[in-house]
Amino acid sequence: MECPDRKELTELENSLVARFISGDGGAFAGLVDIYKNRVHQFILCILGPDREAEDIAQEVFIQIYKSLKTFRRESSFGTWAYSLTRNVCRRRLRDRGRDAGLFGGAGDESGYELPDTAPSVEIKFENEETGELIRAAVDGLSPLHRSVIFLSCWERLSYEEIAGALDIPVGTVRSRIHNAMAALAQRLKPVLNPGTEVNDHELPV
Amino acid sequence: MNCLSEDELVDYLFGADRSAGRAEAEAHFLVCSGCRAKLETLKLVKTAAASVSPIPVSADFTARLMRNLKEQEAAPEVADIPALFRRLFRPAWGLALAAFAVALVLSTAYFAGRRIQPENSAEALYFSDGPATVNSGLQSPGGVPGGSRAGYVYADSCETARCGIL
Repeated sequence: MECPDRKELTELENSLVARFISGDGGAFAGLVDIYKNRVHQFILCILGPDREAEDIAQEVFIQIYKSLKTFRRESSFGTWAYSLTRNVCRRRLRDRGRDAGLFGGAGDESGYELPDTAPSVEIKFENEETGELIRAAVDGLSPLHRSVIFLSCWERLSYEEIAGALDIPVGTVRSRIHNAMAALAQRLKPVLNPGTEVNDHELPV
Repeated sequence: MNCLSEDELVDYLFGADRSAGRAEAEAHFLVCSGCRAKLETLKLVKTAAASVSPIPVSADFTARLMRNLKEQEAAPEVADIPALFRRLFRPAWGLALAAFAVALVLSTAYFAGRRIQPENSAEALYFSDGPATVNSGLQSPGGVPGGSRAGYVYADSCETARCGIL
């Protein structure tokens, strides 16, 4: 399943936000229904597999509910929601004594170069086994790479929107996407070129 | 046009390149099989990543959330206080607060002790014909420089005591 059309989605979001601000509390449930799985997935990108991910998603939506009336619409609702999600995750990481600065710094170098021969077979991503391999490859990336891959490839946000969601400069988004794509290409070698094997020690994260 | 760098290829793929550069890149792909192959690989990687759907939350997620929000709205102060309390009393803050409290108590005790000491030492050695005795009930005579009674020695017979025997 791919992300639905962004333009339609943005129009729907805007109308729900406007209804909520003008006092229609029920419109919030509509926003939740659009974003609950995405926010949940973004939390999993940042924290990795986490039993509390759904509780954290609840916390994020409570924050969104409390702050939505002051939402200034300088960015899209989605960018703003992801930015709040990121802040809630950072706070969780800090409370757990883990590295909350994970999303601020650079340090995600990757030395992989793309092959200059096209993949040898046509890939069917809908195949269940292939789907599992791809999910495992994405899950094996670092939180930084998982986050930008999710926001750029699935959510199809622009560099500027990703920069807003992650609170990093556009130049950093660009290099991070480049490194994430290279890392993912390396991990997807067995899918893209069946017959090749990847050793764990040569995988970038 | 020269071959595209990998950064330029990624920019092209995500539509982040400028339109003039985009037209040039497209012309280049027609004649350069190497760049075309790299772009194909990137496209496949992007499509693969886009095929990974978000893991859904449980079916009652929205209902649970709306119930939570209703409860919080009904008793906002009850809901807010623990959050504020938790924020103020995180382990790091708690330690800093405890250290500050200890420092405050110690410094208060130190300064209070310094101030109180002269008051408590308002006792005097009373010299009489018998052995010297301490008598805290005595008042210092007027005109004493500084007006302090601390350690003042009274003597009714031994004038030398005033001169620093003690």
